[in-house]
Amino acid sequence: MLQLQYFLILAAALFCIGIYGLVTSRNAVRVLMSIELMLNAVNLNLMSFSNYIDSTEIKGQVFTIFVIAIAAAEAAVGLAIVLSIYRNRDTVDMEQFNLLKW
Amino acid sequence: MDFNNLVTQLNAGTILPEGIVLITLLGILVGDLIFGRSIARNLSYFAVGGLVCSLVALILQWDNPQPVSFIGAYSSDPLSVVFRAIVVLSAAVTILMSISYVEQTGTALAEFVAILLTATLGGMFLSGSTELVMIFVSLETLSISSYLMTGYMKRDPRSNEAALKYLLIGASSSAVFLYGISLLYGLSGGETTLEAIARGIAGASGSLSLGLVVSLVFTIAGIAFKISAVPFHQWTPDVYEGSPTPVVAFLSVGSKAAGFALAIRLLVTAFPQVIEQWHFVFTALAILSMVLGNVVALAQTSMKRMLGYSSIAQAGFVMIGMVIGTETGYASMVFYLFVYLFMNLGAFACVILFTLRTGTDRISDYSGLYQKDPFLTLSLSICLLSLGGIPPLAGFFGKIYIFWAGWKAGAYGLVLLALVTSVVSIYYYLRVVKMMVVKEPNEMSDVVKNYPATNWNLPGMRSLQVATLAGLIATSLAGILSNPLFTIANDSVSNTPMLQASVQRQVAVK
Amino acid sequence: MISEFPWLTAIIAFPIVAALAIPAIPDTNGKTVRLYALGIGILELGLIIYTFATQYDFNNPNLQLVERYSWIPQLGLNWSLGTDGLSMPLVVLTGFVTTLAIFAAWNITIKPRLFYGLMLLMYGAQISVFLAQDLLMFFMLWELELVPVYLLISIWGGGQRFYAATKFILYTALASIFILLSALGLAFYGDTVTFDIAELGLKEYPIGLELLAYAGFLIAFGVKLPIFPFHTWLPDAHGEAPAPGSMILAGVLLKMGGYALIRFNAEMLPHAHVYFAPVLAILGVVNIIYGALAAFSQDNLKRRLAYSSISHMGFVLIGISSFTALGINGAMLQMISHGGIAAVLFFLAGVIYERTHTLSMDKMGGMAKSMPSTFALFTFASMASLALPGMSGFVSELSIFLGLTTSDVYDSGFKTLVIFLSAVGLLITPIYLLSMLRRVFFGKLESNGEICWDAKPRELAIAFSLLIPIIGIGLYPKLATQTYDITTAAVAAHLREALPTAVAERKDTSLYAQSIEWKSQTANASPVISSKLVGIANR
Repeated sequence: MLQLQYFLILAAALFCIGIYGLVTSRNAVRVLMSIELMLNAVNLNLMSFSNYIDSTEIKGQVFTIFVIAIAAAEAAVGLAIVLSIYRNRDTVDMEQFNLLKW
Repeated sequence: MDFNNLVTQLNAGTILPEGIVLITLLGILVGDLIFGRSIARNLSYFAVGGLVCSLVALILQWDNPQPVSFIGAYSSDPLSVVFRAIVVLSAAVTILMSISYVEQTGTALAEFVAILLTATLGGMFLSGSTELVMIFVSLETLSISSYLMTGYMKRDPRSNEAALKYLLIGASSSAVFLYGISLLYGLSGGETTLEAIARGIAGASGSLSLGLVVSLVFTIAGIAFKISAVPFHQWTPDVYEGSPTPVVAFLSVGSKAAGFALAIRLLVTAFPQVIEQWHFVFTALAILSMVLGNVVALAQTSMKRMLGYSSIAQAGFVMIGMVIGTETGYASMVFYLFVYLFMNLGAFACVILFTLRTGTDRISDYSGLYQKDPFLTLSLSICLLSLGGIPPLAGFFGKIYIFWAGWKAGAYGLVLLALVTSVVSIYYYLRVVKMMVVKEPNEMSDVVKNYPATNWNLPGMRSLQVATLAGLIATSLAGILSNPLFTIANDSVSNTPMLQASVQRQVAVK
Repeated sequence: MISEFPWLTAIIAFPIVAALAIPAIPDTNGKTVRLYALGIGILELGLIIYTFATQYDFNNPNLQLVERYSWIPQLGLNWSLGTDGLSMPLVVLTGFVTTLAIFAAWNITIKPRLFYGLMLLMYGAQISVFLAQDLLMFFMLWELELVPVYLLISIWGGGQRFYAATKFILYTALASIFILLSALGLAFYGDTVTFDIAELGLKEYPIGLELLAYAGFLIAFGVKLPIFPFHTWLPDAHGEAPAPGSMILAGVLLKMGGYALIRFNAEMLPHAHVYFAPVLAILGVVNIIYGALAAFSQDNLKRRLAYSSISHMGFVLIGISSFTALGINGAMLQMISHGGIAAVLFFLAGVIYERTHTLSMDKMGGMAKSMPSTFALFTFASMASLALPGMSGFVSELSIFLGLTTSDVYDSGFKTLVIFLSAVGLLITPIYLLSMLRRVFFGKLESNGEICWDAKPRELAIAFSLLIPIIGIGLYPKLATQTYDITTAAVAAHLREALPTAVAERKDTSLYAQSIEWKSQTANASPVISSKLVGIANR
């Protein structure tokens, strides 16, 4: 059986990839996807902890279900906002969103 | 576990205030569905009524002998009651302010109120949650509804842009936060309630581990985003400028108060081992927030943006109360948030009034307003001066209490810095007052020259007037007659077991 | 005590409440409001005089009419008022000058409601500063002044008004931070947390803390007084403020600094005062000479008067540092007399400005012919300002000199130096004041001087009511001094009590620090015992 560490390292790697995507993406939808990636890293973390440490009460798995549900809601709201901004501006390029700055 | 035992363990009476808000919310959704737009305004008054009922329920919960409920997932101790009251009050005032604003922009009022109530619900639950899943769910309830409200003016590209920025930064910060608490779950050996986590971590390792520090840093990043502490503040000015003004009012008071409630509860309960580390981090955040918030606010030309930076700076002052970690420190924090509620909402009510009549929020457009609308000038001046800490207004007493507590705890440098930056803040608040009062009639801005006569009988204006008056009166009198508020703030801290335990621990260490 | 009528609270609250009622007065052109404000001012002055005449015991050096109500017990903040010989005359002066300033503001037509509202607010606020007996409350009332003065300057002021107003508020606000810091430092020292001034005075502080707190207070009050390096806001603020504003600024606000120096620095921290007194004396000399020289180079009439204020406030510093009852008495008298003299000078400058619409002395001249009575009054006031015998300024400056000369605390070299230098300052004073008179009233008549009409009865009345007390005090100083000399004597006695112990402590330090620089810098500045010691060591 694999050790807990491998899962944690995988999750950490996934999280870092998510952050990398977050920082470099110019397309708003890609940014949203990167955030999903980060949330999935968290899910992996929770699941592995739940499996190895808390296998009786599996609170981590319950937590994961909540995270998935809320991530879906967040993605829905996010896509809705992206849609409305696309209607107004005809672009989803983050560099173009510069109406607000000091 | 028999039924009776379960009922006492659930202790569901503690969430009666939230229940009332939820029922109001459902009532509004159903009412809007059945009757349509024709009764939208009545529905929003209904919402205010519901919030007032919820406030009453909260007051009745004061000194609840059994605060713990839902098997340790929720606590209704006085601290949570106070923060929930701040959230509820700010939501109620925000609804009063938003009626005419939302109607003028031609969007649906009832839906707006429904989303705002959802955010309120999230903020209330967040103030009392003591369990990770609960914290996460309520945090996201608050956040997602905030994104929706920010983007509510969907034909306005600025509102869109603000919403998108808010959503992307907010979602990523909550992912970071979540990563932090997932580590917390693992480190504690599979616990999710905060106290059990603290016990679990203490049992697992006597010394501090790298994992705990990483988890702390990630958690703080999430919280700092919510209270918009520098350097996690970049979203604040953009969102404040772009989103509808009533939403900004709620974000700057209600959402921020909930963030502070989360900060106190999570950090104090779950991270007692690394208390020095998180105090240090928050000291740094407080210093950065005060300096940067106040200095950058000097250069702003948009009123909402200036208030955005000012709210960053004000959060810095509040953080002083938190990092000193004494009983008076927490009490001063609660007191300041109360005072901040009045003055900031009052200021925003005035800004909304001005925007409704002129359609602009540039600071230079305020010049000469005294000639046209003395009442608005007076209210805005009082609220701004109070934010700047001019006696005898409420803000002065709030600041004095924080400085007093900080000095008592020996945080001399922090107090000195806060004093200096608050002098800087006087300058930019006074600049607006100067614009309005000092300018000669011939220097009047064009929008003020065309300023329409005040008509309070227009639909929705009456409630805005009530909100402005409430802000004005509370700001001018809450300082001089602040004794009850002081008592509430002090009692909320001294009757909260969690804070008492932390304070005792600190004393024991010293 | 509690059943008694709260006289002092009434004095403070009356004008403030009256100010709040101003928006409700029906008025179209500001005439009703100004009558109302003047009526309130006179009533308030009457209330002050009645209170002190009937309730105040002139033979009691202690605090009287004490009121104390718990305000915010969580902070230890009390609504605590009281008056003694230090504050009572200044309260009367405030009432007098402010009422006359309201009367002087008869021609204000821009935003009259706001103007008179602010005047009445300041009326109450200024008085409350002199009466506060709780340090935290004092800080609050001190800050209360900021915004009204800011608005007063920036709305009704001259051409550079925004710059002057901003400079004023930043200087004062930054300086007042030090009041709060010192207050917190003192209040939290020891077992009990208290802000009560009397209780703070009873605490025994370590000398380091006392020195720090003293320095903090000195900076805060030094900005207000003003003391030399912190004075730069004053010529701007006084120069740009409208005439009634300058009257209040020079007549009352500066006195808050001097009052607070005596009340807090000297009375509350006597041990640190021993260390700082020579510094105060030197700063006083610097003030006198610097103010006089700077006044000499000003072309703007009001700026010249403002610098003369700086010069005159130097005498207050010397008086405070003298350790004698006579010196402190003189400092008090100097504040009172300067309050009147500066007010009348600024008022008359305002009278001239209303006619010529300029303050530049280059553009004036020859006005003695067209406005003889203004000229006479201005000459009179200038004579008072340069301390002509028979005027109040002479008495106060003389008693400050005598106070310092008779002081056995300083060695004679230091005393000679201080007195010599301030005498030089005194010599410059007539030069700049007389040259001012010459440039404004004599010489060739400028073109815009032709239309100048002479002072009206209202203006004459204001000037006379300020000048008569000045002459009255000059001829019969006891008129003023008897109201407070018991208290100043008590203050001086209190200061001297602290002297031996502090000198004993200082003896050690001076023994350690026997380097040449130490001697040359401080030997003449230090109290007599230590200087003798140093002298012995020198040989």
